[in-house]
Amino acid sequence: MKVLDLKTEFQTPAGVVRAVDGINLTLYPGETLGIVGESGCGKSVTSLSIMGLLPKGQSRVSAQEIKFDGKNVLAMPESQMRQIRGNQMAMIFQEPMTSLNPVFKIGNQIAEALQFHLKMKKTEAWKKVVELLRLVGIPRPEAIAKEYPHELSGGMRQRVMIAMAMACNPSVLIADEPTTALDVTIQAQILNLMRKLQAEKGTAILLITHDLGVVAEMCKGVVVMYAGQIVEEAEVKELFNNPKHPYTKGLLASLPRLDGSQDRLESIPGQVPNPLNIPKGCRFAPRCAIKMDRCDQLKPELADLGHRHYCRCLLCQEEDS
Amino acid sequence: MIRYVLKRLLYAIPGVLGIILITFILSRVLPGDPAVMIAGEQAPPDVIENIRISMGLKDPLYLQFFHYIRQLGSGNLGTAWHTGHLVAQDFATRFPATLELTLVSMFIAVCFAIPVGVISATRKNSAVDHVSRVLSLLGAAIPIFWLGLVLIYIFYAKLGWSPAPMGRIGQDINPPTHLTGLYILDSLLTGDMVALKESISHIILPAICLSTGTIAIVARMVRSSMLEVIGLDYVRTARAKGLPERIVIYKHALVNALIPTLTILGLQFGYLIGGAVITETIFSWPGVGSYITESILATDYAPIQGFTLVSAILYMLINLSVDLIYGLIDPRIRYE
Repeated sequence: MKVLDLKTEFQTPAGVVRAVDGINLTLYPGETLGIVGESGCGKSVTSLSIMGLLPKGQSRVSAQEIKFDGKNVLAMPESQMRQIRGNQMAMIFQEPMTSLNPVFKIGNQIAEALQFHLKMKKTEAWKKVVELLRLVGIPRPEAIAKEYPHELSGGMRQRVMIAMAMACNPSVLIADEPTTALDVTIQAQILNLMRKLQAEKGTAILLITHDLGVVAEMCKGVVVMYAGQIVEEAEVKELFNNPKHPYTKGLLASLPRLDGSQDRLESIPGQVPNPLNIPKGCRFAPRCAIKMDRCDQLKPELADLGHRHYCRCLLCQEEDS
Repeated sequence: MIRYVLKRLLYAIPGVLGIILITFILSRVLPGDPAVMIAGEQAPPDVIENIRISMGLKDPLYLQFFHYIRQLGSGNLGTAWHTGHLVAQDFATRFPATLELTLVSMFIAVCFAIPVGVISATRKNSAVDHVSRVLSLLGAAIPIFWLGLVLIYIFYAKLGWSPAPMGRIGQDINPPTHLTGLYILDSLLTGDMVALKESISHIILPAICLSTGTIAIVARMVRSSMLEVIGLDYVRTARAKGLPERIVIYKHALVNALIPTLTILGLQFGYLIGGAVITETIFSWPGVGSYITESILATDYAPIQGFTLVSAILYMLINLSVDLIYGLIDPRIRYE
């Protein structure tokens, strides 16, 4: 899947807010690409824009292209997009507690996609549901399929969400903070499950998270987002060993270290800029530790540092040229 | 479940007793003397006095109340002197008319209000939404007597589409064989097509008149609870599955939005079944509403008290059924 120059705008009473501003992503089959960033940097909006799930009327999604399976998804009519959604391209959400419909049986909610996309008969779909629930490690799948969401724990519900997303064997799975709402031990289980399914089915995963630990564990490539833009992109090892952007450095410095070589955790001062009032030059400049005078004026471009490493900082840009 | 129902019924007893007491006291303190009403204003005082004694009106209030409770205990609601029948008997003939009118107007209300509410919510702030909101406001604000008269004027007097607003069926038509007392149902069951057509054409105007307020309230309720539900995560999940919008809205969202709506429907149902006095009067509908109006005007205690009691019990049963239906729709609600 390839996303070129994705822009998403929202109509708000205070004016037009551009939540995502020119994102490029390339997701290779069977790989996991991580998107990290603070709350409000546009990670979730990016994923919802790709899926076409933002409320119509209030939002405008534009892009040069969102290429999926050789087709431009963005140019498709809604009816055609529906054939892809939940079928070849599926999504898991952050909140397993509220993402399942409380009034329908779990089995029915999973079976829906099977019946709609794969035109399965009811009994056939139900068999597949039980198989899927077993696949995602739910004990007593026959019984659980007949239960309602409120009868399950958060971890179990997230497994159900994964079963639902994997029902039609999607080639792309977008996981928006799939483990954020879960206990740490459950988090590891869910991540392992996703990795196992990926290995079995060859699904490409777009993993959205604010947790660098999750990225280190799961992803091959990683994209760091800040205020609606990509500020750095690299393979995971490269990014962790050799971060270039001051924001990435700040994020990494804010992680606790096991070797005890630091007394207190670093933090990045300030907050994500108000999307209505984006800084004129570099968007990170107001919070940057190594800010230069020209940072307030010049907009940095995404500089190619080689080996799939890109960075949006005037320093890198100058190094590059 | 059965235990729950029994417990609820048990809890209702103190409430019902309280209602009996209040209606009893209220009907006694109302101005007007039934003995005078029975005997006539010109009757000699000793006759009136004798009637008072024979009706037990000279007894102290607590004794009268005690007699009344004992009488109720034996299942007797008393006699309505202004009709000369037992109150229970009068109810049996009047109540089906009210029930039928209520059911039909609830049916109309649900058929209109739910789609209107849903469309309003899914096209929030569109022209459709604005129109339906203005109409809702009007529907809730229009006085029923005015609406009834306008409906009669247009559809009976001007257009002639509707029969004269006189009762449940044409004067020259035989009512269907009595099975349930609901004319539409009875004529369907007996295959009496003439009576069916007649009873439907008679019920439409009063039912529309009665349903307007309910339509307005329910449509607004559906709209607001749909708006709430549409923004929830599980609706987004349903969309993410690639389901058509129709299924997302009418299955995933509406079922959840109906839960709060059900409360309103239950309340409205109870309210309508208590006798739509004005509607029944305007359309000469022989239901309990008009019967109670007559009883109040005649200072006839027994039917007033009986009616209050019966409607309190009905109201309670409706509330209980609403709670049980909640349990059917929402699996999170379980009654043990």
